[in-house]
Amino acid sequence: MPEDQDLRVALVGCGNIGLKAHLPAYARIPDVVVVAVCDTDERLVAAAAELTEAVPYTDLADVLSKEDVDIVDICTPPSTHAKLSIQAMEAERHVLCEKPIAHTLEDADAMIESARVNGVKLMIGQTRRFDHRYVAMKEQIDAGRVGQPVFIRRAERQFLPCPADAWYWDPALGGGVILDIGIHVLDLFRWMFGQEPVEVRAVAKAVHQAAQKAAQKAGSFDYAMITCKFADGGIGFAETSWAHPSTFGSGLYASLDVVGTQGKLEYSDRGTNPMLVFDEESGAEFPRYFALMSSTEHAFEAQIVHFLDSVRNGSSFAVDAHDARVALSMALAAQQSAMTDQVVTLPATVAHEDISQENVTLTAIASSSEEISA
Amino acid sequence: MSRIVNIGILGYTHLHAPRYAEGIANHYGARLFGIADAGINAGAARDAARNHGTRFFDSYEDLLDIDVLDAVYLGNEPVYHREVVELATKRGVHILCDKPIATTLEDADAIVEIARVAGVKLMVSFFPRFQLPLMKVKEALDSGDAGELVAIYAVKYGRLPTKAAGPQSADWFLDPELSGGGGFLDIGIHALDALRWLAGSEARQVHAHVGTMIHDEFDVEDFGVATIEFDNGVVGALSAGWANPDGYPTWLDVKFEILTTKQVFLIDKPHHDFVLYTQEGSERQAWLRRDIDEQLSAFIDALVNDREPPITGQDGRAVLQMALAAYESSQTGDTIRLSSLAQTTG
Repeated sequence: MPEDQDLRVALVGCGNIGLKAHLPAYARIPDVVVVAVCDTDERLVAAAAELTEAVPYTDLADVLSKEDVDIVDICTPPSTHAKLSIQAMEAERHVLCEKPIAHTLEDADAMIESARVNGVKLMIGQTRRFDHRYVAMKEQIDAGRVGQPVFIRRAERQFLPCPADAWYWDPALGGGVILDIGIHVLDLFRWMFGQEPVEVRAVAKAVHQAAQKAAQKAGSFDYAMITCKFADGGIGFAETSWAHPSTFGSGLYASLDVVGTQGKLEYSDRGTNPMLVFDEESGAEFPRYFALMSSTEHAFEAQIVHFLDSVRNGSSFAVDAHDARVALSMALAAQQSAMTDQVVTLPATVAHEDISQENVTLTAIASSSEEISA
Repeated sequence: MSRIVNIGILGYTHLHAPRYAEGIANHYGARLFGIADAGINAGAARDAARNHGTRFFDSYEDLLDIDVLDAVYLGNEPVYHREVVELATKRGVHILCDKPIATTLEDADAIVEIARVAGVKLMVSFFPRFQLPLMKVKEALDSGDAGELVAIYAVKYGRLPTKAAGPQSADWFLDPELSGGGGFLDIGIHALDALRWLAGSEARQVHAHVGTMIHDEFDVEDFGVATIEFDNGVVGALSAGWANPDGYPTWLDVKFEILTTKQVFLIDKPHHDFVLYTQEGSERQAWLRRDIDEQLSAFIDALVNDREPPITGQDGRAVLQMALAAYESSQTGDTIRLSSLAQTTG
């Protein structure tokens, strides 16, 4: 049961990222309790209620009117982020919202403005920034161990096991690997370089049949190479994929190399894994240590603790909603570059209209693919 | 032609020259017939000739004047390849030319044409095609076992050539007049060839950032990243350059990560190796390195059996064009369509 000093949370969106990442983190953190869970899908919200002592709801308005919550944690599809978070902020609740901040810059701006007007905290889950391996690498960069970083190479690759009619593949609902995974990678570049992006070029493909079907509606990709140039000349290069074999597995998901003027950092999920397991039937496998493929549960925990500290103490965020908006602008620019076969310069002139000229509406991308493969 | 081919080395400047000297000397199908160098590495060439029990020449012509010479390996500065090819073809010897074939498309075209008119075989040296992991990948692609190729993601990082052990001077690498480029060209061109070879298609467009990114004081570029789209839809990307710090445990860092519709190949290094740890640090040492020997075998086979070499002058030219397109993309900020480059420069 909640005690007086506890912060009270409503979790909105009971898909995998909510249930596998956020709920377990709250359970481990003292002085916070999830008192309400909410999803339009009654089956999902029932499952969430079973995992907690929280009261199930199917409408955020009911949560806000009936529950005395301090915080609304939004884990819904991105096209709903603006509506739900603004609804919560107007009811003077602090908001932690999954990435991407929204599916359009207009929505992102409206969210940021709502936080300002209502005097509440808004933080977006750019989780890579709380992941201990990347924090530790960033510390080495900041300590000057590799000199000035000039090139960062990042891969995030997996198989997306969704049928062709899933919204993940549907551009009208914001599908595609660039917005979903690319947004993390582009934010990682900006964070590690400590510079602002000036230019993005992406080359993308629809490899799997499901992606190809969606691609006919334009703009859905399951494989992308993204090059991003930063103000001081640093270059980030990303390979993002949903097109890898289903057996590719979490032990191989990500890699990150940083080339500096005085040294180099190398990380890969494959290289970092201390153990290989052999099985009579399945052969050799890199065992899985974390519930999600792309981030550790400790990263989600650190992210939520950071958010709660700010709510309690009024401290500013290490990664704020503005950072999340920049990440969105970079991902939209990459999507535009891939669709138009052109370099896109930043700060983004990538307004929603520019994209829709290509007969594509970048709308929702529901909670990220990292949960799908979990 | 005899089944034992007499090969001379013209130019001991390229860092591969000592490997080729050793490779030719040890190859059962070849005889190292002499090493000629009149430049900065003449001393190193003389020592190498003595060590291999062959003759040293202080002029290319003197070596080329020997009647029984069948072929030469060109290990001089790429900017001078064309003039040495002119000399060699006059004597009618076959040519194994180290990469890049030249530093301009004009020179590359001239080299291809001179060799064609002279009726000599011209092969360009690219190592990755003769390294065991990539050979396996190529086999799987050619047999259809791997399905369709989707994308290739390659890395080629080396230490600074001027830090190479051995008697050769590598200062010319840092002189744009002699090298025609820097780290991206020097190391990356191997991977550009590998991308094109695996794709089995011509590059359609190139987007790149290449520049003096790591060593501000250099007059040549030292690092670059390029994305290449091929005619058949395959996408390739490469980051390459002199990115390895002195303490890196191997000279060259080579990675190829290849996605097909059925398989993924993750190649972490080009050779089978072991690790040596000393008080100074650690080194990865290759214990099985087939690329020089396989390349020589392919060249010798082309000569003895009158076949087209597996890597032709046209291949060398196409790969140079990709590299130059990467430079042009870096300068203009645009994505370069290869046909337009051919029209403006070729």
